[in-house]
Amino acid sequence: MKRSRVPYIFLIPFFLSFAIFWAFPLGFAFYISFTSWEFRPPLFGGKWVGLQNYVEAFGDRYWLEALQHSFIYVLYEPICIFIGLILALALNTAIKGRSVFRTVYFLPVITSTVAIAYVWGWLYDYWRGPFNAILRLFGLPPVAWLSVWNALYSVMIMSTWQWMGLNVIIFLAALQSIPNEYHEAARISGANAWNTFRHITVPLLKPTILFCAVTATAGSLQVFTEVYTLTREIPTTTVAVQYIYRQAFAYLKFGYGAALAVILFLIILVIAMIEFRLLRRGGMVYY
Amino acid sequence: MNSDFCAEGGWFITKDWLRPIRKISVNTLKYSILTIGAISSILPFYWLFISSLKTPEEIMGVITTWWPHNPNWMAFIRAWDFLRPPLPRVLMNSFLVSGSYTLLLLLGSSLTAYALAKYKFRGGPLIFWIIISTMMLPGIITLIPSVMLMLWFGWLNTYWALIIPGAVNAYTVFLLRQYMITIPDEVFDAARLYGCSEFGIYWRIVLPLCKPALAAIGLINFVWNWNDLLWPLVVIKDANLYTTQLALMGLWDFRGSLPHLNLVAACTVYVTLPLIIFSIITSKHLIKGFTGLSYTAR
Repeated sequence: MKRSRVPYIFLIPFFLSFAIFWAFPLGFAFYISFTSWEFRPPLFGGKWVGLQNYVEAFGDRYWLEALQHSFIYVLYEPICIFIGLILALALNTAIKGRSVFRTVYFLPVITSTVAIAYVWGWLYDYWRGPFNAILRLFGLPPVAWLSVWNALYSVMIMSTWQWMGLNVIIFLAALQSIPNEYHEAARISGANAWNTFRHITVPLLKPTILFCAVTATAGSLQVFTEVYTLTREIPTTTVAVQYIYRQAFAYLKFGYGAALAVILFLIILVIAMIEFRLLRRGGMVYY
Repeated sequence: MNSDFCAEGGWFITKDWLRPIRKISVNTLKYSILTIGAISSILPFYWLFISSLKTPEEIMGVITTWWPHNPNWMAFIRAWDFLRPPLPRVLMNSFLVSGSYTLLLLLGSSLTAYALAKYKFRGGPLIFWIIISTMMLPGIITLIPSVMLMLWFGWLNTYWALIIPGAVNAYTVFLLRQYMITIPDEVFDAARLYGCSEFGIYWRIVLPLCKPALAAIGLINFVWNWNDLLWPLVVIKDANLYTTQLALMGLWDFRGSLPHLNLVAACTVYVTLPLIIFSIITSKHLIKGFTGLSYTAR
């Protein structure tokens, strides 16, 4: 075997599956979005309808509301990053039981959202839930966490809790990869702790923070499980992916669902590109 | 040591006579922040656990109880055949699916990453650029076409649908490549000198050297496959193939039914437990894997 061929041969499995399960669906999604494809057994297919699905989407009040809910949901993420950062900074000092804390913070990340939503449904319970029990303990009025108006915010609190640990681990890894010499140099040249933090730790962490923000935005705009399991079909919490899921797999309107997916796809792409520009400015290097 | 630099504020730092007070207050602050974080992380798990020890009446009672009056372990035995399909079957399904998915993913990705990291060839940078840019693409767009693909393949309602399509992951390739680049080339040259084949280098040298990264990335992907809901929800109808998440979703519909709430909690504990044990065992590797991530971010 000639050595120059080796890398190509190594790449075959990846590219084969990449073409079938990623590239093809990607292109095909655009095609379906221009058709009236519906799944009505035994009939399976659709006619070319041009931009009709897209026109319909922009007049679809429920779709626009669902998009709006997704955008509100994303706002949990700055808080989540902030808490993660604080905890990581506290963990990165000389403390006892660091690995225990680390493992504990990571527990929610590895637990399934279905199970989490299930438990949080109990925690949020108006009468017996511990949250309201704690509020009553302090003499505060109980909150109807899962009411129509509060449910989306309750989902956001749950997500903050769930993903905080991931941010802790990522930031901790970033903090530990900052060479010690930087801090020593700062200390020798007379910088106090706050200045060291402000002028050395923060700038070096910035790319990681932005990286977390970018990946989390794309992920949260595609939220489904959290909302679907905690609040099910409350209209004030229906998010974009949930609406797509309903159109495609409950009403079996594949064409329309695909058009909605393409719209969401493009929105996320534009946001990601803006954020990546920020990343570049923040000094991220790919390779 | 880069010890106390970050939890301290800028004020009251320069006064020397304040040092002991400063140390104590900084430590108190640190530990209280960490403890509050830890308690809030644990609370839901604690609540789930004590719910499984309570009687259904106590769970639904008007008074919030922080420890069951009569802890009752029977729920953990009765939960075995409460879930539909039975719990062993569900766990087996999930282990089979997530296990083979992770294995396939790691093998495919590491091979690709190795080719991209350690060979110079025409089109290499282009291929890497393609992988990087698809990493950014939101997966939601492929949901509907992928289901149609499964339909044409006849994979709906099979394990294949759960294992194969997800096993292409540009992100994994990217992380592994970043890790492999740090392996010095001399290692490979020495192996070639001793007559090791190209695939042999991958199998005997690259894979063992990448163990920490593979462990961390494998763990994360295993967990994410195990916990996935949307895709199984769409492609699986047959209850015998239910993964843990689908079975848990089925339980949800029982939520209103009073007599079984402790069993529901016990089932949830069973389904959550494997991952918790798994992550505690591998938690050492986790941080190493994520260090790679932060290198790429720099």
